[in-house]
Amino acid sequence: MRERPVRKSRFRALYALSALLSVLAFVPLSSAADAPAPVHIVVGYQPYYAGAWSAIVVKERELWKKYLPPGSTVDWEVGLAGSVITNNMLAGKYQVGYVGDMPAIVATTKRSQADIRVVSVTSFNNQQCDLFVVRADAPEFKTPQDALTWMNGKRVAVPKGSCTDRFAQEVFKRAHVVPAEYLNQSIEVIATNLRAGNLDAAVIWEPNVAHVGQVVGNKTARLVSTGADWDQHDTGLIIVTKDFLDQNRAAVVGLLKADIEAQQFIVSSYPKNACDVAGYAVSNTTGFEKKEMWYALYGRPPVGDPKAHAVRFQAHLLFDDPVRAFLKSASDFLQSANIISSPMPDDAILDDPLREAVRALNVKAPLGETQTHAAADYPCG
Amino acid sequence: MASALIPPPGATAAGAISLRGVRKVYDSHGPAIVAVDDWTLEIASGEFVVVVGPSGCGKTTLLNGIAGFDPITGGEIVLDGKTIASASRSARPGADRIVVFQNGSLFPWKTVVDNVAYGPIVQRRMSRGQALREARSALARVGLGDVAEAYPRTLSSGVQRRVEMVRALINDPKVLLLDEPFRALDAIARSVMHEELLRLYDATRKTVFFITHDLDEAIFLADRVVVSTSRPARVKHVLRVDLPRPRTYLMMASREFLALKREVADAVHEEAENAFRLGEPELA
Amino acid sequence: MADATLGAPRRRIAWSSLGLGAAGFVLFIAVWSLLVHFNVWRFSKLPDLLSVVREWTSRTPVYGVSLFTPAYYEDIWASTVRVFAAFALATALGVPLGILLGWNRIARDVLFPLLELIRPIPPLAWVPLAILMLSGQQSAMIFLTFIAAFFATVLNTMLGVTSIDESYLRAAYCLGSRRWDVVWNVVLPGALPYIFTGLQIAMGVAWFSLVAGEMIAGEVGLGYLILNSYVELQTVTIVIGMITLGVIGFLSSALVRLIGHRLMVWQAR
Repeated sequence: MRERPVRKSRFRALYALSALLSVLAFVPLSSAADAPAPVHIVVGYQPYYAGAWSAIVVKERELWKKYLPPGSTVDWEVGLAGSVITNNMLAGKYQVGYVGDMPAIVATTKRSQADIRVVSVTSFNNQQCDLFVVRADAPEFKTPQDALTWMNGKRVAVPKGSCTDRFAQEVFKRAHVVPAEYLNQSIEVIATNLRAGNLDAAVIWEPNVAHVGQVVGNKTARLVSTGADWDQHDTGLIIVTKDFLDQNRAAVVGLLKADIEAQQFIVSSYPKNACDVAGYAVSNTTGFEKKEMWYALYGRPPVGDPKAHAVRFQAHLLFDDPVRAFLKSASDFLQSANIISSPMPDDAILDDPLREAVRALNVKAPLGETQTHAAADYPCG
Repeated sequence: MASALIPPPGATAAGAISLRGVRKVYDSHGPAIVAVDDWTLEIASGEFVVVVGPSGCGKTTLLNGIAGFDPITGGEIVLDGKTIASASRSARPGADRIVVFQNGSLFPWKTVVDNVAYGPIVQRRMSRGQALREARSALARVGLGDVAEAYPRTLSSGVQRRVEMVRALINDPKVLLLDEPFRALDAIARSVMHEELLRLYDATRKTVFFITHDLDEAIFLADRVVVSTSRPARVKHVLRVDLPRPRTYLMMASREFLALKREVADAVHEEAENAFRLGEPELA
Repeated sequence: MADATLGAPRRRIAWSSLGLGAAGFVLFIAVWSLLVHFNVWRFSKLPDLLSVVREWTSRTPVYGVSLFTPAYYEDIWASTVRVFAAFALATALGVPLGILLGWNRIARDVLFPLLELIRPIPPLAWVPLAILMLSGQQSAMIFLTFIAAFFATVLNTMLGVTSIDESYLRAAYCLGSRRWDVVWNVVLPGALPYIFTGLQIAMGVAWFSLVAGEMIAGEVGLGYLILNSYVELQTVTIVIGMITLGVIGFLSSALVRLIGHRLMVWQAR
């Protein structure tokens, strides 16, 4: 009779101990359950626009794996033009897009279809999209101004509504140039027309200029003037759908961190990184050569004063006053050309995630820029 | 019977046809088919000859040979002393031997008068204006003046056939070839057409080579009736129709008519049984 | 005695074909509007009819194209000129070639396989070659529009020729025609019904190919309008362009049909 109370107290202790142990056992598991769930993102990117090549670096070096929850997947979809990517974003098929400034701005004005915001700057340049080329057999020009004057009464083509359209119209206004025809054609049509000798001049972006040019390309055209001559700029931007941002803010910040690392990669450790970038660009496109891709970001345009044309790519990163002013002027242009009916909304630029990423990585903006080299100094063997 | 093979006396040379040992073999697809084998017949100028025989026996092939649509593989066809077809030489169709077809071949896209004027215009015999005038008067002569501006599709088959005959005769051919032209008409229209044809024949006295399987029609129209064997075609029996011209339908009830019919029917019936037993598909 | 009014005659509405056609359009528009309004599947992504009509009939359209803007009519005119030029060329070259192929066995054996090889190549694939071969944007665009129309014309003409009843040809020869007479008096009119079917198809595919061809337009055209609106994400203008294209294409084919009926009066009973 006296044994029972002893057994009971011993069992009670045993129960208490096992309860404590099981609670402790669950603790690490619960903290694992609190870890973020994997995300699945579809990213549209433009390998045929060098101003947004940080996307290719993120993709090829799988930098996104470092900053997204484990198990996340990213579908990288090539867009041959910015409008293809923005269309897909408006339709809800892509969540993130790497595009040029003009498609980005147009996309932000379509709130009735989808709410799209601009969250990062992939580059802020004056020699990526602002590039005048002329037909191969045009006369040699002493200065960029001479080249522009020659375009009076000639047949010029640009893709309408793009960064080149804005650049061309602004420069024509300043240089008092009136072309005989100002045609709206896509890049492929322009390239073929240059080859066939049907155009006198065109304004297109890298890497297409490298591809058709005299220095490294198929010699069907010649670069005669860049944005550096006219104090004009262009940007590459990252856009996201607001819905996705609200639901997966951490993932967006993670992608931005990956992009920052990519931009750093582009502007550092020359020539090794440069050759890697050129290689990545080649594997994401068809019909382009490594030398052309290198030239797009690192080759010196054979125009005018080398010092004035020294920078090809600037990892500007933040939405500071110059960038904001530039985007506003771009929006004004689109509105005056009746391409958009209302200006880019004031809240279209959403840079909190970017600031968070910058802080987390402890970097300083601008991250750096690429210096240009003569084509003869092509370092990639 | 022997006398039936000889053309009647007083025949002139124009439109005289000699078919001598004519032979036609089709062998392009599969086993050779002998459609016509050793067909020999002399047709006098201005004679109305009708060939009867079971369907598919080869009489149309013969007509096509004379007309020049189909070359012959043996024997020869001679028109007015000139060989127009033989094994080595294919005849070419021409306005000297005009065909009136079974299903009618007036050009549907031309008016009646344009159809009739077609021959003279295309042979460059007269100017367009002249040809149209001739055509209109030819049509008026046979009582078809008021359908001149109509399109063939709006006309009855009987009228279409009459127009077709005018279209042929306005070219003054030596020979008129008719391949079961009234087959698609009903009995009443057919009897009207017989009288029309004979009226034209009496007026123009062209050589006529007529094919049919209707025995009454054959005897009523012909100077001579030629009975063809079943395939391959050969001359089986020839008889002369001595009924006076112009022919009238009352003659079809006469004793002579019935006697002729008995003779033809005997010859044809045997061949018809042969053809039925063979059961071969009909040729062109 | 049988009741004279046994089964009172039922009222029958005379359905005219015009009325049915209009009803078809109304039904289509109603279904479209409902799908967009009730967000069936992904239809809310499309512009609804009201905004399309509003933009189309606005005196100051948001994107610069409406019934009241000269740009709209310039686009229509530019495209119409290109299509009709291509169509005329396709007819002028296609009908004679079709007649040759139907008429002459050797020509048919030599050329027909070649034609059938080239025919399936879509206009879009021809764009780069057209730009390289032909100087000038207009000629390149007309070429691209011409190709599909040409093949439709050749094929249908050839079919028309081979389907002419042999008796007509034989009758013509009997009556003393030479080859050229037969072609002009029998083959061409005889094949005309098929030729006109081919021409209607050719007109349709010409409009169809125009949109691909006008990507090299550069300034004006209905196809250019549609492609440009796509790039600039102006969905309402895309729909306006599509509807306009459909209407003008429909009217063009109807015109060809009308001309055919006039030329083939003899077909009427």
